[in-house]
Amino acid sequence: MQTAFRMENLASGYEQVRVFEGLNLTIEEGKVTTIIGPNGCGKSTLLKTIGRILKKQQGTVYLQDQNMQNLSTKDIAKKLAILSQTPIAPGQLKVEELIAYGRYPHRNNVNRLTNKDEEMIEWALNVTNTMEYRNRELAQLSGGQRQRVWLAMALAQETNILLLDEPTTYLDMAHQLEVLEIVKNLNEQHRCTIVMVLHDINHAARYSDHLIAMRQGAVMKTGTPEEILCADVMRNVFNINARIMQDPVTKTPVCYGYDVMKETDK
Amino acid sequence: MTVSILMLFIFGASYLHLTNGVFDMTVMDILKTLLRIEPNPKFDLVIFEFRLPRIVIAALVGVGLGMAGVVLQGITRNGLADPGILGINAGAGAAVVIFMFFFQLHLTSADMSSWLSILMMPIFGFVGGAMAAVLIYTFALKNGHLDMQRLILTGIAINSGFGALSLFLSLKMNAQDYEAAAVWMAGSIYNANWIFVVTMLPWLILIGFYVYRKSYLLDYFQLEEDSITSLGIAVEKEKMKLLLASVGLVSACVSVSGSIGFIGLMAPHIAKQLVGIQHRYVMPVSALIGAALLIFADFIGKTVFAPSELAVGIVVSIIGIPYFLYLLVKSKA
Repeated sequence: MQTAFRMENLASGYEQVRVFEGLNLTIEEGKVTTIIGPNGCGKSTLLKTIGRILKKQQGTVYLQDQNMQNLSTKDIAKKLAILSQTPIAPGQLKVEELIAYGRYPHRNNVNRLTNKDEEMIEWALNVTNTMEYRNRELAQLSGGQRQRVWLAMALAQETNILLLDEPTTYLDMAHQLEVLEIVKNLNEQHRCTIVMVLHDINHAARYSDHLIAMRQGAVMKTGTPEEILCADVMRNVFNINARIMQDPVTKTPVCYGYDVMKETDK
Repeated sequence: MTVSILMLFIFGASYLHLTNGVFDMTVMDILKTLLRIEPNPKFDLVIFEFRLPRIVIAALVGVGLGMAGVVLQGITRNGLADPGILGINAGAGAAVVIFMFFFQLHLTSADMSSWLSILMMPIFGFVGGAMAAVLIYTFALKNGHLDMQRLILTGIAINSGFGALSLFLSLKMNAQDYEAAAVWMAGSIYNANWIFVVTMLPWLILIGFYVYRKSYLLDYFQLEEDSITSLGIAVEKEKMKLLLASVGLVSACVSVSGSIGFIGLMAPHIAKQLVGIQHRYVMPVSALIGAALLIFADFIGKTVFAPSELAVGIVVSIIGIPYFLYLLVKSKA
């Protein structure tokens, strides 16, 4: 199995604040891997660091066995796309124009789109079900529609690896699943490697092959959803007493209820 | 379409500028002089030595400031950014005043012997502008990343710092130099001549072309930095290059016209209202608007209080301040 990412002794953070250090981790190619953990555990920081949006402070990241330090930012952009949590764009921008931005790393002539560019934009519109409002301005879209358009932009980048930072934030329940279904489809149909950060552990369990559970800048445990969604791990990672069963329909573990751990439980 | 209307406007303003003044001329007089039919030395003098260079300078300065404004608003992602507010004007201005102070250059009596020193002025202006830019940049830098809020705040501080330096130096000059410096600092082009045109034109063409070619990048700069990085754009590097280019444009302008504010603020806004947010259209249109505005403002400055003149920088400020306040109020809503 080839690896999408391999981190060696990785440290990162903001300004003087170290969020994590000494991290060793591999992420497999062709799989959906989700990072979970409580607020401030460093899951977004980790995603941004391997997506080179945030400068690492120490260590090495290998992207498909190549040291990322030796790759130009444009070459990296052909291999991985990263979608940040709440991206912003001017409201007057048309859906299609924004998606065309995703073609940047592949373009030689900056003023004209090639046939290949057009093709990829069409494909991205199709996959994300955004075809019907391709000519609308971003300001006219709802939150769910806008999120899918951003996803389409990342797809137009034509990369094998997709990093998503809480792609379901601020969406209602139906729209959350819609986005995750697109992600699942990308992985299954197009062999896309997905690494994402999710807040909802049930979504994480249902849509991922692998989970990485983090707490206070440390990886507590990695494994399949079944290995992570168990009382022990939930207690260590989230400080909760979780009640877990198997969803009879999806056959994935679900946390159907929980209580915050009391001092006496520790 | 927009471009042709703007060209018409520029021609209209130039026409008004050419025919009106202390010495009124008719269209026929001008056409005859320009086409060399019955040349008249008096008309020749007025048109070729006084009015035409002045119009050309106004147009060039307008183009430079219009483009610099687009670049600065683009890379700072702030619609209120303007070379004047960021202190680049003041930096270039201070350098030129220092130059005037030490070389005792009388701007008013530019003859062939001072060609060299006049050619030096844009270079001094550029050094000053670049110095201001480097200062602003270092103070605004936070963890190797340019913080736009800080950029504007430091810009304001640098602006008043360099302004004070210019004032201090100009007060130490002798009366004649002081007058020249004071008029120049207010932003004026009434002493325009072809030498100034020659000094700024190469800078303007070179940097203008570069900035136009890079204008597509400004489209991407409308997104957040995370998104731009993800697309494979070397954000800090490109931002630095564009910032330097706009410093170059502004310095070339400031060295011949003194500090003219608000053109770099207004022109890009009007351009965006006209042609939308694609920068390869915004850039040239903003340049033309800058030129049109400045020729027109200079015409007003020249005629309203004739025979005495109002510096074009002051006219622009009179129009610009209400517009700036309007933008502030609008952006709050």
